[in-house]
Amino acid sequence: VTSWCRIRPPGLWACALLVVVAGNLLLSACGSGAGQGASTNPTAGQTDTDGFYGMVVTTPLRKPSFTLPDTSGVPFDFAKETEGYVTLLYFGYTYCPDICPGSMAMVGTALKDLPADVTDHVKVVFVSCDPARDTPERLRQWLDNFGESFIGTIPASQAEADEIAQRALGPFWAPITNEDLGGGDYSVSHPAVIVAYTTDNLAHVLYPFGVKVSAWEHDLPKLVEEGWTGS
Amino acid sequence: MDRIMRPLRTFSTLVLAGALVLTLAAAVSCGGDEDTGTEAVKVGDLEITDAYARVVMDGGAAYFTIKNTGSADDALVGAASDVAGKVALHESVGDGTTMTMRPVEEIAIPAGGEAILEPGGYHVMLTDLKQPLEEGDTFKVTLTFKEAGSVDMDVTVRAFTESDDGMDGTMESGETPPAAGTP
Repeated sequence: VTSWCRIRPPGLWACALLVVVAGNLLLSACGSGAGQGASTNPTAGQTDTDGFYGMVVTTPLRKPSFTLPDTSGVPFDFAKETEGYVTLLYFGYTYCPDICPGSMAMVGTALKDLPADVTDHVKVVFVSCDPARDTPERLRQWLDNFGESFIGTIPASQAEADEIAQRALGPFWAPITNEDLGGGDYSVSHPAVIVAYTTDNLAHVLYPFGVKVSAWEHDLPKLVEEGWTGS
Repeated sequence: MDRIMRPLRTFSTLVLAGALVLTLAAAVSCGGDEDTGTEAVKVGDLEITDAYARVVMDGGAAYFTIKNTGSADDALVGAASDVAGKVALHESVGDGTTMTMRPVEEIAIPAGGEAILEPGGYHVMLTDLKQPLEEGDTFKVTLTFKEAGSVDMDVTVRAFTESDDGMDGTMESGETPPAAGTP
């Protein structure tokens, strides 16, 4: 597990975080020797999570304001258009073969399974971290694999995506950068967490990579029906 | 775990409460013995099982498990397939909140051990797919190992939510959501 700390964490907190999150989410318990904490309860008595599968933060994240063209080219005013909805915000790119489609598929499948009285109150907004390659047509086609209602937005530049991500993610932000794969190809280092805003326009719960459909199906109705009633 | 958790509490912005550890760990599981992949392939002392791929549009990733039953270390050093314009060994790395993907020279398979290629970790990246692949389709991938040589294997395309790799789309028996207010 400690080897994950090599991976240029944005700060000490990240290193501590990744020990826990990587141990449980990424390495899982697949014979890797990590995630052994699953059978113990290190913080018995704490009730901060209020029964969410997601990662509850003590200092909620404010919903950012930004306007970007959607996949139809129409300006999408994020704060205005998502007012009153449980809003899932994700930063990704369509040439991402592993992390992004996995995360979007889990959310999309849950939304297909959940009743309309829940899903009518949920919006999913995707911000491209790779505007150089994510054309509106390509992003639309890609998102349709997971949810035709998913809103795709494309910043003018990667720097703009990064600026929005920084405001949205606060202490969970790390720079969005391209990583050379050789032969002119590149991958994008990007936030893998889905930020879940409730109708108070705050995100109290974050969903790191690896959250399953069943977890979404548990948490989304709670976020819609109860709003934020936690600590 | 308490030793790991303690430093976290010094960060006021973040509380990873016990329920996080418990529930997310519970939300991630690995039914590795579930036989849902293609048939096992053997080459030398290596056995490759549960090969599958996930595909979106013109890109995808292949995953499988390689067991090394021998007494010498080996390593996966290459992968090739006719279905894609580019095939490469990659690793997704990060802390779960920020992730990136980078090429790897080789994936070690220690003697008596195994290498697991799975979402969020090592994978064979397939870029520029030459034809659309759909769920249930099977295609060939040639793997090259440092010691054991090369072998062809079948890889089956699976839905993103149909897998036994920890991102299973179904609630497993005995797994229950956390009760409200109870970590």
